Amino acid sequence: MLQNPLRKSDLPLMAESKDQMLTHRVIPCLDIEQGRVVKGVQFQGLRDAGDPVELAARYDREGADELTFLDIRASDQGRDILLDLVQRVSRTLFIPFTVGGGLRTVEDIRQVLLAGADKVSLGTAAVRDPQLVARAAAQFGSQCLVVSLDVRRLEGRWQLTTHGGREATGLDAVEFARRIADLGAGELLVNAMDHDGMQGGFAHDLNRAMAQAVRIPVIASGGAGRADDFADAVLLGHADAVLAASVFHDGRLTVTQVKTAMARRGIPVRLPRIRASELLSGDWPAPVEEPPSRPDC
Amino acid sequence: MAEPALTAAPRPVAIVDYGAGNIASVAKAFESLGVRAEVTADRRDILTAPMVVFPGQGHFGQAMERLRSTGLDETLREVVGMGTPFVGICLGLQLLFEGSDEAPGMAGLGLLRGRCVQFQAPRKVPQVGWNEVLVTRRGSPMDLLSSEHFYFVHAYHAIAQDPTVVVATADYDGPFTAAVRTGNLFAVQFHPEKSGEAGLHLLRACLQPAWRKVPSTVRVRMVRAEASKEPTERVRMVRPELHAVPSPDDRDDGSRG
Repeated sequence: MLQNPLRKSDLPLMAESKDQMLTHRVIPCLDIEQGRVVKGVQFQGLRDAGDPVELAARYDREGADELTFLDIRASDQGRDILLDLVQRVSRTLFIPFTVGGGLRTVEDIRQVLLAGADKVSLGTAAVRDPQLVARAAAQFGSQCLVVSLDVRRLEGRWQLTTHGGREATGLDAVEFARRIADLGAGELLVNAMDHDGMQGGFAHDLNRAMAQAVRIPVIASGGAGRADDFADAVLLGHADAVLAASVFHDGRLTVTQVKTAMARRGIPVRLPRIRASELLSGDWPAPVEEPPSRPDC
Repeated sequence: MAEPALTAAPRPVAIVDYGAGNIASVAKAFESLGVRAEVTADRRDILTAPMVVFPGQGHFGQAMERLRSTGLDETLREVVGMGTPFVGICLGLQLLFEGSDEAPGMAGLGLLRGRCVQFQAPRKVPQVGWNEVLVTRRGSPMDLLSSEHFYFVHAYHAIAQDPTVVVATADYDGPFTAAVRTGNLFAVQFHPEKSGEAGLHLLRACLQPAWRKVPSTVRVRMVRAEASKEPTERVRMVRPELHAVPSPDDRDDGSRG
């Protein structure tokens, strides 16, 4: 948290990276139901809090590196609504976005990619049928396949679960991660279900184990509470990228705050150019008044 | 009076369609700039286009097979030879070279000397994300950058035999080729259509006629080097004026950044 009043000259702009480097990504995830954003606060300046296109534009402006749209009540009937949403988003959003939720076949994936998504996220389907990942990779390339693993600590080990963390599979999560990476997954989204929604920080042990097990990028998810949690996810969990949903939707943190915290900890991030007035108003915490310095009596 | 930008051209920009990945977003990016662009595999469309964009994602070998079987490889060589401004993106940069370790034995278009190799361990492969690009040589649309981070997603990178064609590099466990330019040929390893405003800004810079006429040694205003040091207004995307060359610097407040 910032203690000092913000002065124009203090404002962080581009990260002070002496070496050019691949930056760590911050990825807001929007929960979608019937083509609308689920819950979330009515942000200032948004005409419609439920409009994914508007919300996406807002996160883009704040410096989000990518976005993920998760269809939380995915059904075959709802597919057309989702595809329409993907098309609308792709007309105005020019950062990468991933779409997931109920995608089960190569045809499902094809439709979503053709509609304009850059990547798809496969969850339960990849666990049930790992060869789906291989088939999809052969058709579309690994770079557009994110495999999402819901992991719980069960019986002393990290285990894969499905159906939103409710069903145990008995499968070792890290072992499965290796297997799915070999089959053609482009990235791993690791959801620590025990940490999810607790706002107590990310699952560093799990993320580190995943990062060590595979040569593909690992996206940490589950546990975001403070801006510094994101920095910890990178420094302690060795995550390549960090994803969060409700902490952004509820207005508790902005992408800008998160990235500034990461930059302060020396993590290479892409910071958006922001005007001083934008940082001082709106979601940024109000500057604390510092008493004028007094000479020692 | 400067030559009008390509936005005033009657024919659409041709975005070459050879089945290599989802390239609709490239067309959408041009649309958002108010520029007509068309995804096409038609030889005539490509040869008569005011500018040709050669995008691509996927496997080097599969892409070259498609280009050969459709005859597009010859069309592309022809259009480059005609002097048409040519912009390659991602795989579209790699294919310009002589080959890639991704497809041993398969020849690339050979418009540039050199080969593509894979990123080595311990780095994660592919490189996915925003990396900072450093302009190393002037005389390309890279000179008109509004900011330096662009989105990369690739496992292979090109090593040019002639270093003077490399105009920008980025670092991923060592420097790698981020952009090349020679004559009317310009290509980037990153995805401008996925790089937010910075990418759209670069695509607009590609539409400027100036870059392909400038030999590499001529001094061009370096916006990028100073851009990050001062607080500035964010570059807002403005539809380019059809009658004049758009300013490369939307936030023109007189300062050099």
